[in-house]
Amino acid sequence: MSGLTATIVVERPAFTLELELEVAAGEIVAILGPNGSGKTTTLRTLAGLVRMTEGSIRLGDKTLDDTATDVHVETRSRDIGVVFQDYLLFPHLSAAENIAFGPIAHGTPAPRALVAAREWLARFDLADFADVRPRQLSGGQAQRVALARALILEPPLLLLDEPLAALDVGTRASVRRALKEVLGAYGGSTVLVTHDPADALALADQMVVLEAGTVAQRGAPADVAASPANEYVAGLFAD
Amino acid sequence: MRAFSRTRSPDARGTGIPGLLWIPAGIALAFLVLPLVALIAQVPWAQFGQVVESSGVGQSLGLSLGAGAAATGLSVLLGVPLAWVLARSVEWNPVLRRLLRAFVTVPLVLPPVVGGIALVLLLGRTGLVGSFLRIWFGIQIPFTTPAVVISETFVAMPFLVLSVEGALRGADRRLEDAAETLGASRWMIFRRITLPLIAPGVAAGAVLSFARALGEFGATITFAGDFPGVTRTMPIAAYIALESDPGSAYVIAIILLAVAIAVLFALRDRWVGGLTS
Repeated sequence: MSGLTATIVVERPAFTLELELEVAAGEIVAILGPNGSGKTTTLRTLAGLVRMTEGSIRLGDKTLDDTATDVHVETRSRDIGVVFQDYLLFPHLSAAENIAFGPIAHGTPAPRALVAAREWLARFDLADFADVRPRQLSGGQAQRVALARALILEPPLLLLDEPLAALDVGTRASVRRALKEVLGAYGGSTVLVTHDPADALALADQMVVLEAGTVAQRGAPADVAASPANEYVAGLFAD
Repeated sequence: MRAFSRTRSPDARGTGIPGLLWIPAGIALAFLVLPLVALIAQVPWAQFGQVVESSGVGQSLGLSLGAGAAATGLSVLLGVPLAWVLARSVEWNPVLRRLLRAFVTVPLVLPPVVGGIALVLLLGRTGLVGSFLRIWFGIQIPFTTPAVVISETFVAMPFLVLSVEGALRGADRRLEDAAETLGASRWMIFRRITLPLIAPGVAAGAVLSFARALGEFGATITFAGDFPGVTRTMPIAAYIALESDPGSAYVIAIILLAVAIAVLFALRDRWVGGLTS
């Protein structure tokens, strides 16, 4: 089968993260929770940047992690697209060079990678920004460059870490709409981490609410918003 | 709001310096500036070109620039990887890091003559390693141009290591994570991401190392001696000339001063600018 199946246990000094995730291809799952609830640890574990204490991660027919058989695929070989918080574009490279970085790392000759990068820029209405450094991009533009950088490798799994947190309130709604369109066209599984219920409601098919490392509630975002399981979940939707 | 911004203006705030402090402050400044004024005033400018072209000074200048460049190159080549280990060893062993850091810092505070003596005892004819080099390979390092380069590298490399280490610790490591998720190998991350990010720190460290190497005297004269054309660098030439031909000593001194000012100029954003912003 395609899609992501993960059982994650990560012991941290402050809490233990315990989470099961199933994300079908084409599906978007939002992990919602305040700072310190284990959202970012979840993403870093899926990306292979954190080794988990126990559990397994399978993507399609590939096993990325399995503590029982001591399998751990290095981050660089996982084929997972990541859009980091603050986007983490390489500041010394142009927008096109940022997007071409992945294909070049995978052995595509630089000129061909740059042509492909420009195609992605054109698709995202950024054709004029190919030679611009990240510093000169607006938040929404930087996000699209970061999305293009991740998606150009056609990963079966896309991870988004607080994709809208770096934006000011005025632009957030329009960037969220643009993001929804991009994610709608993407055929793989998406895991999105956010502290803002509005993001989850607008973008996700399924929602997982984390409280200090454990699942407080899961379900369709609208259902969770309509009938929160406890005061903690209700509090997240309060404003 | 206007009232608050007033405090930012030095005119409105006044200097706040007690009158009595002006006297020692003035003496201190004179102490730093007057020797240079004396030097500039006494240089025989009329003979400047003639002195520089005279074989001795020209030779020393060439040797100094060459050995300084070689020492700087060696410092970059070996110092960047050492800075890397130093910056990244924090995570796996703080004790090792402190020890490494102490070793790197010692040449900074060590009297250069002591460094020279230590190099003699290591690489000299009967030294710890030097005796084997002599017996097995017939190689003798003391009193050769390579000895000059080694002395200069010994005193200059710490500047590069500490400068690069600072740059590495300031660089955002999450960018390396981002590169890794895109499939980059460690070597590609180093070359394409980290190295460009710390390039200003490497450049500043290289300039500092070059300045330090160019001024090196104590370790060089101890380990490499004073042989015209082979080990007689500018500082040594200036010292030797002071007895026999003061005029050319002054000229050499003014050239070294010019280089120092050029270094300061090259680093202006990092140091001089950094103090005001």
